[in-house]
Amino acid sequence: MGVLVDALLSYITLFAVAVIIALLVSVIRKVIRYVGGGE
Amino acid sequence: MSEVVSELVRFITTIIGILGLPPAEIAVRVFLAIAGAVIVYLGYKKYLEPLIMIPMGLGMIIANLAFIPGTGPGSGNPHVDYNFTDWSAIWYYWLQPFYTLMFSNGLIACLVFFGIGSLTDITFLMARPYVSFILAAFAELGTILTLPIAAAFFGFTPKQAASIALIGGADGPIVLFASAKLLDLPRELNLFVAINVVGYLYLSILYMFQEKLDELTIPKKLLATPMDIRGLPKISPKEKIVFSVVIAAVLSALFPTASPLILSFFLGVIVREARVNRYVRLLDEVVLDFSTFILALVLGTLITPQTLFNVLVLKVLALGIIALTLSSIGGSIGGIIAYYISRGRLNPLLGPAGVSCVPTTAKISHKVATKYNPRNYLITFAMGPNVAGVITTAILASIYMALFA
Repeated sequence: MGVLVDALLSYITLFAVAVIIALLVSVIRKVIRYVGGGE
Repeated sequence: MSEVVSELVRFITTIIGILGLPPAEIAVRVFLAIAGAVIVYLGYKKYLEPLIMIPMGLGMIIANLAFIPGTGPGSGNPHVDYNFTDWSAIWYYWLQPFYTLMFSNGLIACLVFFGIGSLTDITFLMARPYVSFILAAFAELGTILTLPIAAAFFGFTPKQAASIALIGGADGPIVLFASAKLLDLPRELNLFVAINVVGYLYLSILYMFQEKLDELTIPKKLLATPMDIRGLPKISPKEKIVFSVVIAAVLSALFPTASPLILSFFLGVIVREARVNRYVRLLDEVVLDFSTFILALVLGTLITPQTLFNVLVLKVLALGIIALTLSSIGGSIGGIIAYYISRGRLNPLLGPAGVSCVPTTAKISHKVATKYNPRNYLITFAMGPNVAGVITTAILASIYMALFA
């Protein structure tokens, strides 16, 4: 049971981190375009 | 007369060590040597990855036929002693420095990651970050579900189950790195060898079954979904470098146990984007090739009856295929959801491309997409979830190491 809970919590954490990284990508791209040096 | 015969037998078995072993072990060794020869042949014919399979297969053949009685604690392997502790014997085992100083601490996996990073273009990952990372997370379903399956139904401890489950991430260096940390080496070396051999073998044959799995799990009419490359934004090298620095720092802070892999991968990416060509050539043409060659050779010489031939291998074989199949199905589920959420603008084959075997699964998605729509050019889009899959697998490896190591 403990391992199952760990596995499910790991999956939830992974999705949360995936969204955070994607959000960071968007922020980084916006900032760089704002300060210059983008495409 | 009998004394002459016994002297002759002693003389021959002293020189040809394998003949002094019990008949059953000789049979197993010959079987493994033949299996090694088959692996070399499949590598030569390019059915399996030749970069891995040729050195691994030859290592297997030689390590099983060359037996020296009385060396090491029972291994008799003249190449590497998996139970090595006596440094005065370092002169004896020629591959020992690689095993002791590069395998057991995961260094070899980091060297491979330097090279992979220097070859990886993160443009598509950054162009579609949400799609890439969320689909990659879906494609970790096997890495997640195999953990409780291995623990509940196959009798593995959580550490062992976590090591095996990571095969579902389809990333050989991460499996090696994490299993070296999670397992109690050298006591559990048999499981370590089994997991890594099975992992690399399955990654080689992934090409054969992933295509069919994609067609089975995704409705045929969706496989032809066209995607327009003109919609992709351009990403400058500066954006890619800033992203790599920030993400490497954030992920290392959040998941410190995986930070060696994260550092290695993103250093390779940054060197590539900064166009430090001398380093790119070093990492790509020297470090990656050398470490892959040594990894395969050492792994091959470790495949002997002492390390591999037991019931564990059959369990790992079964769980490895379960893990990869579930990951692929998870990717397909994510791809189908993405198709409907995007109202048909995303091809569901992007999902299975999130199984992070770079770039194999992206190529397979592209191949299937063009089969159903010859004008489709999916590889550009598929590389996004594919590269994100490397990062999500590293994250899961770190979580497992933190939880169970």
